[in-house]
Amino acid sequence: MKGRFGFSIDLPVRNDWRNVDLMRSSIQSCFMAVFRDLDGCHAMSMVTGELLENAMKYGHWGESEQVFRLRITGDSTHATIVVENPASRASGHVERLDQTIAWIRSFANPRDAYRTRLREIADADVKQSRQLGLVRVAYEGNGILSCAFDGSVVTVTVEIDL
Amino acid sequence: MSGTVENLVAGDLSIEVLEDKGLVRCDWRGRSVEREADLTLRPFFDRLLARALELGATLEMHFEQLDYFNSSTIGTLITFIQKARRQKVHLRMVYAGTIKWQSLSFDALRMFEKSDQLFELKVASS
Repeated sequence: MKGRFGFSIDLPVRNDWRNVDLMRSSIQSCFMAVFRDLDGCHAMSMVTGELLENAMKYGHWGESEQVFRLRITGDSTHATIVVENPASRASGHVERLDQTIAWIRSFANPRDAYRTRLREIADADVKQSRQLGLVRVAYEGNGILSCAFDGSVVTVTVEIDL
Repeated sequence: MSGTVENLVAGDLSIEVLEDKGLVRCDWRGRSVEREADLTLRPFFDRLLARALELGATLEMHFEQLDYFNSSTIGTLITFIQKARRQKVHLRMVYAGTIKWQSLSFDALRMFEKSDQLFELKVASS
């Protein structure tokens, strides 16, 4: 941990949808107790919520795999949010993650990517979020996304300047 | 006759519906965090559209008191905007411009404002 405002959170999270908002609102409350910048606290909690939703929706959940991991580290100027969950390449999730992150990076800025995704949803005329959460992380959270896959666990990392 | 639309309460989200002189007003409170927001919100939105058509009223959605919505809710709101436009229902969304996440989320929806003025975004007066 760096400096007076260094922080580190490392938690296992049970794969239960109710835990998304429990964790998201807890993270927001924790950081509101530390930092004055409420917008920054909201950005971190939104990013956490969207990553947790993504892990629960698309993780490879078997009977023995019902827990995944959330890690948040940083200081007063920067935060790194990491979610690790079981994944299977056969499900297509890892490939979609890679493609979505590459797609976001192909735009001049995250706002353009976000607007394009909104337009795609409008044109599809059905509820088809198409990983809007990750694009929102980049636009609204100003987060830089990356992901890695080790054969059984996918790790999604978001870097945020506060 | 579709009748007055009842308030929606779903988990941590509540939407209060008020009718007043050519206006159907909905006040969102709490958090919209359902895994599939569409399942809860779409039937409610359909009832609102039917009522607005029946009354020839404007639909006005107020988000100022909403604490949070997830991306699933955003997707559902976009399809609602499109549906309201197709049915020629005037839809206005009012948000808190002083809250950064609301400002970012709703500013991005300005791309759906067209010259037909059927969809309108408005910053709440503080």
